[in-house]
Amino acid sequence: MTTLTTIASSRNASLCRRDKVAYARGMSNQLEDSALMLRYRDGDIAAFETLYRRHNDSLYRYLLRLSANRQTAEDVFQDAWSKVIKARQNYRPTAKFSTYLFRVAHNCFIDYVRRNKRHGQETNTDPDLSPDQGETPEQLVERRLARKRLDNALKTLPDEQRDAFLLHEEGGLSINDIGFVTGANRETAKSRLRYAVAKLKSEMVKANVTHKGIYDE
Amino acid sequence: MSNDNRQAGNSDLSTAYRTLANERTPPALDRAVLSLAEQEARVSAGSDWLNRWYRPAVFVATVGLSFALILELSESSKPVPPGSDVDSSINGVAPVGESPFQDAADATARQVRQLEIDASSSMSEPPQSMNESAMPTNSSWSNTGSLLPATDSCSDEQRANTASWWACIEELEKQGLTQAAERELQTLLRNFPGFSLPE
Repeated sequence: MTTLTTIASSRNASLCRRDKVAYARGMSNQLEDSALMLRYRDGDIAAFETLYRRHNDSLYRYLLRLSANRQTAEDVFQDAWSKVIKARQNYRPTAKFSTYLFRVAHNCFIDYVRRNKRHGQETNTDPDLSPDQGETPEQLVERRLARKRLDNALKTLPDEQRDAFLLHEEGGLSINDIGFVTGANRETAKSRLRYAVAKLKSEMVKANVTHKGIYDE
Repeated sequence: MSNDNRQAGNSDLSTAYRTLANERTPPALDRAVLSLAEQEARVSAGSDWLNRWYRPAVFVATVGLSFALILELSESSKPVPPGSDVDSSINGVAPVGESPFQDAADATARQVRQLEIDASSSMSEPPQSMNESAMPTNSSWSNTGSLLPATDSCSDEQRANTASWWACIEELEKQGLTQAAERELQTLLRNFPGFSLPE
C-alpha cells in the first residue's frame, strides 16, 4: 500500500505550494493582526471585523474538535471572543494575535469543562456538509464518511495530544506557542504533537482517509 | 468572506485534515460576536470621552475655584474709605457700574472688618475698674467737644476725615489709652494709605 506521504507529495505539489504561500501570508499578517486589534481598541469596528473574519473559522473548528460537541464549541467560541473584546484595553502586541486568541479559547474551554461536569458525555459534531459544485451525491456521502473517520481518529487521541494537534493545524502555532497556550514546556508540547501526528496517521491509514476523502487503493 | 488563515505544515496529514475539516462558523454566531464587539466599542467610546475630559475638567474647576477664593480674599482685605461704609444699595440706589454681586461682596467685607474691629476692641478692653479710673472727668470732655472719643475708640464721625481721626487718636494717647490709639492709627493708615503722620 502506498504511504500517505508518497501520495501527498506526488499528487499535491501545487496544493503544497499554495499552502506555503498561505503560511507566508499568515506570517506577514502578524503585525496586521496586532495593528487591527489596536485599532479596535481605539474604537474601529471595521478593524475588528477584519480580524474576526481572519480567525473565526479556525477557532471554531479548533473548539469543535477539541470539545467534540457543537453546542459547547459555540458557547466557548462566544465566550472567548467576548473576553478578547472586553480585554482590548489591556491588549499588548507582545505575541502573535493568534497565539493570544487560542490561549484565551483554550482557557475558556478548560473553565467550561470545570463548570459543566457533564461535558463529554454527549458528542455532537455531526457535520452539516453541503455538496460542493459538481459533486455527486455519492461523493458527498464519501466525504461525510471521511470526515466521520477523521473525527473518530481525533477522538482516539488523549485530550492533550488532540489539543496540540489542533493548535498546530488550526492556529498554525509553533511548538513554542503550543507550549505557551497549553502551559506545557517545549519538549512536552513537541512530544504531544509528535505522538498525535503518528497516531492520526496510523488511524487514517487504517481508515483509508486521505486528503481527497476516502483513500482509493 | 472568510479568510481561512490555516497555517499548519504541509504534510499529507495536514492536507487530509484541511480537506475534510472545513466547517465554517455559523452565521448566527458571527452576528452575535460582531454585535457584541460593536456594542462594547460604542460603550467604550462614551467612557473614553469621560476619561479623556475628567482630569482636565477637575483641574480647570480647581483652578477656577482657587482663583475665585483668592480674589474674594484680596477684595476683603482692600482698604475701604470710611465714607463708603454707608451701603447705598440699602437705600435702593445702587452705584453705577457695580453689579449686585459686587455689592454683596463689599457688604460682606465690611461686616467682616467691623467684626474684626469689635473683636479686637473687646479683647483689649481693660477691666471695668481700670477703665473707670482712666476715664476723664466731665470737664475735660467739654474742651474737645465732638472730637473727643466717647469710649476707647473713635466714632464714625471722627473717622470721616483724617484730621478729625488724628485728633481723636491724639486725644486717646493723652488719656493714656495707648493701645486704643495705636489700634486707631493702624486702622487710619489702612483706610488712608496716603496719610502721613504730622511732625
